[in-house]
Formats: sequence, structure tokens, C-alpha cells
Amino acid sequence: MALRSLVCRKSLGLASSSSFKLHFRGLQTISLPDLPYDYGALEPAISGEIMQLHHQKHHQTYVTNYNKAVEQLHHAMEKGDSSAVVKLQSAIKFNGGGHVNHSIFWKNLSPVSERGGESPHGNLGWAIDEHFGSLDALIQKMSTEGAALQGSGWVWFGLDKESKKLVVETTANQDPLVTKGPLVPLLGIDVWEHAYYLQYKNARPDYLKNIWKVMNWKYAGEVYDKEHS
Amino acid sequence: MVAAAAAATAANPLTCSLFPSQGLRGTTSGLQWTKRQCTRKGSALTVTAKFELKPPPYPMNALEPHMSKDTFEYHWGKHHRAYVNNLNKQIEGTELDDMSLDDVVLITYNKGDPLPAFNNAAQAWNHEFFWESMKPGGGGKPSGELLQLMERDFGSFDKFVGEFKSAAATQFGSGWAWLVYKANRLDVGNAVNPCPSEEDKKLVVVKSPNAVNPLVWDYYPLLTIDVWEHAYYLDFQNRRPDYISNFMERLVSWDAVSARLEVARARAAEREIEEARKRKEEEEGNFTDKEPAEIFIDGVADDSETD
Repeated sequence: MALRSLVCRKSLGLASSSSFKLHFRGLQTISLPDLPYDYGALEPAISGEIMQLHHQKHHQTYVTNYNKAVEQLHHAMEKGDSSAVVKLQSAIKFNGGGHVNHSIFWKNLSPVSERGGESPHGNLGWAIDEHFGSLDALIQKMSTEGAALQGSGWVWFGLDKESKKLVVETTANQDPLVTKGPLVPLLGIDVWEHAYYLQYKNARPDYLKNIWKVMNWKYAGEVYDKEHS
Repeated sequence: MVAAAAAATAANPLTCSLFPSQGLRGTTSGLQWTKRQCTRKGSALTVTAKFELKPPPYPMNALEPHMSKDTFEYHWGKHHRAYVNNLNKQIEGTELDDMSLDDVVLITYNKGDPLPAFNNAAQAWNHEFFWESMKPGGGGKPSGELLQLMERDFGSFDKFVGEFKSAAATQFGSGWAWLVYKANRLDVGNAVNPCPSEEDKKLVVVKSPNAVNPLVWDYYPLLTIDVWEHAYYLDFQNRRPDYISNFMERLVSWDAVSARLEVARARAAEREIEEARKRKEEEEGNFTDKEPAEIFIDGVADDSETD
């Protein structure tokens, strides 16, 4: 915990020194969000070592590289350099997507002591039964699709804002769920190898079996209620 | 257990290697290239042939401390093995069952709309090629023709290294970085390269996502580095650039890359001769077909006009 706050302060420091110049031009940088629990709080489902590297290194890198790319974009736009603007799109999508996705991921996990893994109640619970038959059927579907995803990416449980239907989708690399339509993410599971390799090695299905023990359905239910009404 | 399996497969005389460490240099026939096609074992009694998980050409701990035995045992013993096993299951009883791995990769790529077996086929190919791209005590600098071509096509060896490292570091997500020999044949059915020249044939650095392999772009792969996280996570965690530098400085087998270049050039030359022969045959064929066809059409046209 102490280490985490140390790094968070450090990252905030980095962000603020560069945001000084950027604010001057009206640009807003992003910074690494704090985790809502300790690194070790999701054990044994996800080890503290994984959580720490995942948050402090991987997520931090997306934040840093996104800020860099946005600053370059700003320069390119000021100069009217359209080819430079276009060239920056992939870095912005990848790093910005990495930040968006991980920010959701941290929130949709929760320690068992804070009701992680507890089945959804209320509107979302009913809607899941209606769309998928049962919660188990939804979990099965997401686990299967997550295991079958080639390479790096995410498996999502989302709400289609237009049809009001619940959907399961996958996205490649760091593509956020919005790239697949008018979808609001309720839960996202990171199936990049960095999310599980130190603990589960090649056994991605085992990771996908255990992550449900720390799933924050309460968070998913809150987002659902807000977006569905 | 993994080591025992490796030893058993290694002892099998039916297993062929793509680039045997001896006997390749100085030979220019295309035979070595096609040797990959016999990495499957047939039995006189059964019709089904299976692709085999070929062991790396050195012991699991031979690359330590630069690549740990632990990484190797998972990477070869679990990941590579799963690709081969799953491929065998997928193609059993299909028309792909008796083809070479190269052909399965090309066919299942399906011109960019991959069939289900593509990922396993290409990953089986990529991993075998990756193990053979490294050796204990590797790294350093290439020599001979390879070095000359690098200097010609990249400016210098260091510039090549810079380009290769950058490709490997910037591949978003899972994938591979490659050094390839590009013979630049434009054979797209309705188009031919109007001015082919020796200059078209050069070394190029490319990167590919997930399982994709430069064979599908008609390049000759010479060197690859796996940048899926499973390739380095146990040893380097998130530090992919350190893994890449370590690979270039301590692990690359330039002997293997030189040998592959030699085979690639020979294959490209053979292919050119073969294509020229076919073109000539077609031209001659067209010429003999053409005359009567024109007369016939003219004849019909004349008839209709007079009617």
C-alpha cells in the first residue's frame, strides 16, 4: 500500500510537470487513477504481484504514452500537419484505450470482503436472466469467448444503449467497447497475458474461472441502472 | 517430463529439420526449404499424418540466463505444444491433413480472411522458426553476404538493429517482428511487375499481429522475435524493450539467418526461372491458339454481316 501511494504520488508529479505547459495551451493530461483496494486484496484469485505490475507499470505506461501522443497531436494540429495527425491515431487509440479499459477494470473487481463475487441483484439480475437464461450462462459465455480470443484483448459484458439489450463482446488489443457500437461497458475482463501470466501461466481458462470470485457486480448494476433508465 | 518428451522426439530419425546446422552452407538447391514439409510422421498402417512438436535445437536451459528454463518449458512445452496439438485436431480428416505446414499456413490464411486452423498452423510454424533463430552464445554481428545486404538495405548493421528493435517494441499487443527477404514479385493474376530488377530484392523489417506470418505476404522469413507477452513475461515482466535488446545482443543465431538467406535467394532465383519458363510457354501457346481463333471470329462476323 505504501509502495502504491509512493508511485501514485510520483506519477501525479510527472503528470503535473507536463500538464503545466499543456494547461497553458488548454490541454488536459490524464493521470493514473488510484486503485479502490490494496494490491493484495484480490488474492488468491489475482496475486498482489500481478496487480502491482498491472497498475503501476502497464496502466502507467498507457497514461504516459497517451499524454505524449496527445501533446504531439496538439503540435501537429497547430502546424496543420495532417499526415502527422493521422499518424498519431494508432498511438492515441491504443494508449487511450488502455487507460479507458483499465480504469473500468479496476472498478469492476472487488475484494471478497467487500462483496466481490456476490451475484447481481435488482434490475441487472433480472435482465441477465431474461437475456442469457441465468447468471451462470452469462459467465460461461464470457469465459468461453475470453478463452477463445486470439492474442491480446478484452471480453466485455455491455448494454446496447439503443436496443437496451445486454451483450457479450470481445475487442482486440486495447480497443475499448465503444469501437463495437453504441455499447456501455458494465464489466470488462482483461485477457492480455500480463493480466494473469505470473500466476496462471498458459492456463487462461483457469484465470477466467477464478476472476468471477472477485467480480464487482454491484458496480455493474449501478452502471446498468444509470444507463438503462 | 517435458525434457523426456523432447529427447524422445529428437531421437526420431523421421523428423527433419529446416535448417540443419551442418551441410547447408554452400548448397543452393531448394531442397532444404522444402524439408520443413516433412516435419510430420507417417505410419505405414495409418492414413493420418500428424504435425510433430519439434524440440528446440538445444537443451531447455541452454539459453540461460538470457532466457530462463522456466520460460522455455512453458513456451515450448505448453504454448507451442498446444498450437501443434490443436492444429492436428482441427485438420484431422480434412483436405489439409496431408499438406505441408507451409501450405496449411498459406491456404488457411485464405487471402486475409483466415480459416479456423490458421492461428494454430501459423503459430506452430512461427515458434519452430523462433527456436531456430536463437542459439546458446548467440548475438554479435553477422558477416558475409548477410552483413553486406544489411549495409546496402539499411545503411548499416546498427541501423538494421534499430529498425528491428523498434518494430518489435511497437507491435501493439501480441505478435512478431521479422527480418525478411523480399523478392518483390508482382504476380496478382492480372498484373505483372513492368520493370523487375535486382534492386527489388532486398532485406526488409516487418511486424505482424498475433499469428500472422510473412509467408502470407510472399516474403522469405529470415529472423523472428516473439513479442507475445508469454515470450518474456516470466523473465522481464512488462520490460519488453529489455527482452528485445537481450535477444539481439545474446541470443540471435546469425548462422541460421545467413543459411536462411542463402536458401531464400536460391529459391527466389529458381522461382524466377520457373516463372520465365511458364511465361514463355504461355506466350507460345497463345500464339498458336490465337491465329485460328481470330480467323474463326472474323469468319462468323463476316457471315453475320453478309446475312
